[in-house]
Amino acid sequence: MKKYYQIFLMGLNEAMQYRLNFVLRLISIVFPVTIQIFIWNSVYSADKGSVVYGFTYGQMIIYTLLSAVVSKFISSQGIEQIINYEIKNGQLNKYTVKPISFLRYMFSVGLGKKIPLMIITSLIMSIILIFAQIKLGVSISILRILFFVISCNLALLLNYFIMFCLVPFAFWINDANSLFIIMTLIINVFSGGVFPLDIFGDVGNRVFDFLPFKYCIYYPVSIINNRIELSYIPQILLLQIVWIMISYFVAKGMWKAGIKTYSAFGG
Amino acid sequence: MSIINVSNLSKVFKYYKKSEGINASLKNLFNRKTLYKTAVDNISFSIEKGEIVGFIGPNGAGKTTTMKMLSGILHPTSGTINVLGYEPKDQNNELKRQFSIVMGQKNQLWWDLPAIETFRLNKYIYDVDEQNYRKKLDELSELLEVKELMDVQVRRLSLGERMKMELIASLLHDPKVLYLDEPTIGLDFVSQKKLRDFLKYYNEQNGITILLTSHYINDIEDLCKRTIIINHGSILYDGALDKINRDYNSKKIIKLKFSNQIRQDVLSTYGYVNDYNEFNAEIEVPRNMANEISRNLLSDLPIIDFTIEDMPLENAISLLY
Repeated sequence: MKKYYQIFLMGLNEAMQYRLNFVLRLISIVFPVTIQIFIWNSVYSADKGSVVYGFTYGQMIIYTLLSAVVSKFISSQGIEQIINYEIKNGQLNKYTVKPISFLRYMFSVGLGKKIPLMIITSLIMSIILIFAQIKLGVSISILRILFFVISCNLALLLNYFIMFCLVPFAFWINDANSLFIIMTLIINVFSGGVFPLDIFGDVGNRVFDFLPFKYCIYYPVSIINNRIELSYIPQILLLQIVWIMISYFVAKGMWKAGIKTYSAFGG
Repeated sequence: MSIINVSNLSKVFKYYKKSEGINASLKNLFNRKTLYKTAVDNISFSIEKGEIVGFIGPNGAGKTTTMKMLSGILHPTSGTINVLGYEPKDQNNELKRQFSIVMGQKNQLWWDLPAIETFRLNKYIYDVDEQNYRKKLDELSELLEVKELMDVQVRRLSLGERMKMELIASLLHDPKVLYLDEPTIGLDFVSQKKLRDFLKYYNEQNGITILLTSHYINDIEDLCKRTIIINHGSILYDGALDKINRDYNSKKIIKLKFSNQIRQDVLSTYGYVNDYNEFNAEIEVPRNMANEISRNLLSDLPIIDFTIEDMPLENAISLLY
C-alpha cells in the first residue's frame, strides 16, 4: 500500500508543475454552463414559478451549475488517453517489468493529479450552494451535504473504473483515442452532466436505471438538490458501491485479456 | 551456476498485410491477409552469474524481442526461459525485484520531476529500506558523477545525463540481472566510454549479470568477454569476440609507407590493394601468408613504416550476417 501512496504523491507533485493548464481546464466549463443557463432562462421566462420536467427554476439552475462542477470533480482527466499513449508507444513495458499493478499505479497517479482539482471544485461547489441558499431560496440540510460529499467521492471512483473498462480497447484498436473522446461525451450526457436525465422521459430513464452512468452525476446532484427523498439516499449510495465493484472487476478482466494479446502478439 | 537458461526459444509475430492504396485498404476491411514473421527462431543459450554478454546483430535481428521475452514483456511462442529459477512470463514479483531493464530509447524517469523523485518512488516500488537506498544512491551518483543533477527536472538534462539517471533508477534495488537495450544510443563517445567504464566497474564490484545489445562495436569489445551474434532470429555465433577474426576472417591487412613513389600495379602482385596513393598503401593478404608476403615486401620495396593488422571487427561480423 505504501508504494501506491508514494505514487499518489508523485502524481500530486506533478500536477503542481502544471498550474496554468489546470486553471485553463476549469475556465473551459464556464462557456457551456453560461449557454445552458441562457436556455433555461428562456424556457422559464414566461413564468418563473413553473415546473419543467419536475424541476423548479431554482433547482434547474443549481442542477446546471452543480452538474458541470461535479463532472469536473469526477473526471478522469484524460488518464485513458495517457494509457493509450503508453500502450501505443511500447511504454507499457516499463511498468510490466516492475513489481506493481499497472491499473493501481495509474489509479494512484490519477488520484494524485486530481487533488488540486478536487479542492478547487469543492470550493466552487460550496460557493454555488451558498448562492443557492441566499439567491434561489433552495434550502439544503447538513445531512444532505454530508451524503452529497460521500456520493461525489463514490462517483469519482465509479467514473474512474468505467474509464478503465474502456482503456483496454487500446490493445485491440489501432488508435483508441477517438473512441475515448466520443465515449467521454456520451457518458457525460448519459450521466446527466449536461441536462437532468428527466428530459429523456420515463422510457429513457428505465434504460438508464440499468446502466452505471446515472450514478456518476445525476444522483449525486439530485441528493443535494432535494430531488430525492432522504430515506432513499442510502440505497443510492449502496448502488454506487455495487456499480464500482462491477466496473472494477470488468476493468480488471478486460485488462488481463488485453495484456495477454499484447504480450502474445506484439509490444 | 547459470542464472539464465534459454532453450529452443521462438517468437512468431502475427500481422496483417497492408498493400498500397485506398482500394487495398477497403479490401482489407473485409478480407485481411494474415502473415507471420518469425522474430526469434529456436535459440538456446545460457548465461553464468557475473557474465557480461553482448548481443549484436543488425536491426530486426531479434535482439530486442529476445530481451523482451527474458524480461517477461513478451510471451514466447515456444521454448522455455528460466531466469533465477522463474519463468519471466509468469510475471512473478519475486523475479521482478531481482532484475532491471534499461532501454536506450524508452525512459522510466518522470519527465517533469527531478530524477531524485523517480529514485524515491523506485525505493518504494522495490521495497528498498532507507539505509540501503541511501548507500546505493550515494555510491551510484558518485560513480556516475551526477550528484548535483539529481534535483534538476529530467527534461532539462542532456541525453547522457539522463541515461546515467536511468541506470541509477534501475540499479537502486540491487538487481542480480541487468538487461541493457542499446544503452549508449545517441551518446557522444566520451559519454559512451564513461558509461562502459561504469558498467565494467559495477560488474566487477557487484557481480551483476549483464546482457546488453548495442550497435557500437566498441561497447561490445570493451565490455563483453562473450558475444552472441544473432541475425534473422538465429544465433550465428556464441563466444569471444576476438576469436571471430581468427575463425571467420581469413585476411589480414598490411599498411605500408614508402620513401619513394611506388606504382599500384607493382603492389597488386603482392595482394589485393585496398587503398593507395603514391607513398601509402593498404594491402589485403590471406592470413596464413601474411608473414611471407611481408618479408618479401620489406626486402623488395623502400618501406619506412609497416604494420600488420586484423581486419576491423565490423568487417568480420558483417561476413557472418
